[in-house]
Amino acid sequence: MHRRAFLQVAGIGATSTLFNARVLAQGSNDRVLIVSEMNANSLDTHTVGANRAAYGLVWMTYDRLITFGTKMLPNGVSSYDYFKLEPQLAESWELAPDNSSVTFKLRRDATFHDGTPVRANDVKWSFDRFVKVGGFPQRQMEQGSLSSVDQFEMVDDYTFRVKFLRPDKLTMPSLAIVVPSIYNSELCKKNVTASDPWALEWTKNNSAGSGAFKVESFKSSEQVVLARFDGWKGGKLSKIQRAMYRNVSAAGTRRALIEKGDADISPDLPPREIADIEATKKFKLQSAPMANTLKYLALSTVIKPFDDVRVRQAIAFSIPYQKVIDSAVFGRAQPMFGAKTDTPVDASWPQPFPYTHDPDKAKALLKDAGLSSGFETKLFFDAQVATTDEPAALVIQDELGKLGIRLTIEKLPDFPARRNQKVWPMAIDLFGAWFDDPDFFFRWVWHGQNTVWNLSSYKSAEMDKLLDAARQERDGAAYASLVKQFVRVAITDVPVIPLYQPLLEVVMQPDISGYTYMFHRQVDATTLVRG
Amino acid sequence: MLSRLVLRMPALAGVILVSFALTRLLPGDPAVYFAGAAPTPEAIADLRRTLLLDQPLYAQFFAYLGDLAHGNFGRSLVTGQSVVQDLSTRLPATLELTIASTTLALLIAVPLGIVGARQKGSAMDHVCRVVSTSALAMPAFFTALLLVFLFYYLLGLAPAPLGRLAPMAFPPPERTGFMIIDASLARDWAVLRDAAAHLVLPALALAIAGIGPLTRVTRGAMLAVLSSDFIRAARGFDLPRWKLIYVYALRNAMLPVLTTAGFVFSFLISANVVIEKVFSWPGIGSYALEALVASDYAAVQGFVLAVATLYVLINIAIDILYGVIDVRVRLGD
Repeated sequence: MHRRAFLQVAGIGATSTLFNARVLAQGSNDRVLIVSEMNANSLDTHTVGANRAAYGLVWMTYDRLITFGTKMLPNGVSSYDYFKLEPQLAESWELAPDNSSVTFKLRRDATFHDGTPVRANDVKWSFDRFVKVGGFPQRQMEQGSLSSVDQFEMVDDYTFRVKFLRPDKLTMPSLAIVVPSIYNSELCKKNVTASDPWALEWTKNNSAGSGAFKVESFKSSEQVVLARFDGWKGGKLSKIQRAMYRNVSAAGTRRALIEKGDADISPDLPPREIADIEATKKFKLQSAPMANTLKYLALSTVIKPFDDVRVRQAIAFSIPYQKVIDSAVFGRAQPMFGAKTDTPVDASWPQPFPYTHDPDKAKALLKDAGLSSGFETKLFFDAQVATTDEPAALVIQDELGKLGIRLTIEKLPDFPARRNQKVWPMAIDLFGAWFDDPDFFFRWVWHGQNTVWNLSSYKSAEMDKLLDAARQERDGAAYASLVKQFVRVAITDVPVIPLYQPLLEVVMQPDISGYTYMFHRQVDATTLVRG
Repeated sequence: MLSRLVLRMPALAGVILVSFALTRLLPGDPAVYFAGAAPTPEAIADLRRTLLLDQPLYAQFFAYLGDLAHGNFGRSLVTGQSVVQDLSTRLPATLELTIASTTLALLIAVPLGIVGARQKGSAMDHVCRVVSTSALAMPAFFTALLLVFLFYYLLGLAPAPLGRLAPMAFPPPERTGFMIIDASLARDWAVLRDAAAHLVLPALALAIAGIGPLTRVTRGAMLAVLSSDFIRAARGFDLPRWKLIYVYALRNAMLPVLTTAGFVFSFLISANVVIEKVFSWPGIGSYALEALVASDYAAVQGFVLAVATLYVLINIAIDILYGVIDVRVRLGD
């Protein structure tokens, strides 16, 4: 029997027995089923190990004081706008004349899901929480100079002040990301224990927000069902009554579900499947370049022979960039090669590097470095993204072989858990930053503080000086000049060779609209519309 | 029964030690994996402290033993839940699937093996051999995808491969964790049908992996029994053919088949991993795989211990069944 027909029969069967009306047919126009490889492992981003899907979930179940606006991308896809901050639980805010603090006026009509009004004491409790719980929330907010409970002051029930530690461009946007969500402090306090003063154990499986959706059911890593919160004041009420997020590990299964119409949205199909689905012209495809994200080849500056800048440049000239993009992602990416000049013309990021596939230049550089007979080395990549990185690695191996560089490819299943070891001569990796400011991206990948993302162990006094200055710079023109300078250093020293900027491609049924690309890269059901 | 259990305790103790040692030997660092979107050195150090990874190994081991003694398997970082809770919700899903597929494999393989043995060398025998060999040769992942493609995508006969129930269906109140049993207990026939419909394809995909060895062993054992003296004598007494084969011969051929069924069951639990992936089945296979990739120590150790315990129980069950089937085993005790 056909599934839908079966469900209808099942539905009739179920309603006939009392209290058993529980099997619901799909396909009504106020609900969506989203299938993806990863599902939320927590209802709270403050808990240890909360994954990216949990970020997307908290975005919908909680509100922040402020949120990001939206803009249109050149291809007609809607996207969040990092540079446009809009009110959410705060109806307005005002910077102190001396730029030492910001004061928020809260909306008076907002309530949490249980009906409790949202007040400044909830904001104070929530902000203290991200500082006090340690781990990811604390460290993330430190990036925006929000690191002490003394910075947060409840002025009255509906007024809240944040004092700045130092001038920092990231402070205001930090308040719009998922970490500083506003929690129902009274409800949370009822669930604290002596060993868990911030109720993390409880919020992991229970939601205490005021966001667009309430959590109807939650099975960690498996599925989440959200129901619309009709009293939401943090934005325009969603057209979707119920949204279900379901984990479907196999890409082939996700594709089949979409093609059969049993699932509505799949945000993470591999490029090959996307290309096939696009060719059928039956489904809607919304593509957006992943903001502030790069796929790159990192060369370790502390492992021979890549300690020599000429060898790194030689590698940068020996990569067939277009071929890498074609074989890895079927051409579905923003190229990051072939800029016209060696000097950046603007302060945008990511921007193409001036390298192109030029074996002659590569040979000359290798000869300069005394390596014209080539050498042996290893290239590492993450087995979990083998669908894209394995073809890329093979293309690179093939081309470097022509220069006498013998490459052994190592595919690591636990690549992400080993990033800090910094023992890979060459590695393919991806980094995406939450904030669109170029210096934020650079701080993780090129700064001498040597975070786990600096796979090259790159350290340059000049780079560090430029990045530290850029972090504090508020003046637009001076900031742009700094960006151009540090991009130039990254191009010359080239410890990291950009391969491409990936796209986030979301496939959906043709009757769905309103999709908006979000910085957390998860599907936000709030803006979706059916029919 | 109790003595059997006691005899196997050293094996479990060994498993505890080895699984602890092996997870620590994994080159990855869970603190790096789970440090979140801002993995500063401080964030990683914080996490290491939370996970007790900054302690010496022996201290970690004794802490682990102490937790185990209290029935605490630790907390999985991948799911964020306690390992006991994860396993208790996921193990029934895996067991339901494995039991269904082992039963299915036996139902297909035993008759095939008998036919092969009775008509040795005939065309039918060759057909049986081809079926069992090709079943053995097909990777479970491929069979699973093929079945989905055929029965869901092309023919539309099977429900969407979305786990144990239709996406918007509500599960019956949980009593055993076995969807089929729980739905029956709740007298929720709609859900029972839905659960059964969702079980058919993954069980079949998994069963195919078990058909090969079972057919071979059944055929071999039947051949040996059919040519033995007591069967020849029974033939001499002119017993009805069906009684001869299905009562006397089959019962005596059951021992090796049972042993193999035990192996197949254990093997199918591990083959579950790929089937669970294709059918989004919320079992322990996919759970363990994800945990291993993330160096999620507690979850991996819990999984290994649970499966080892399961193997021990299966072995004991088969031992007991031996006695039921074969008088000689009972007398030997």
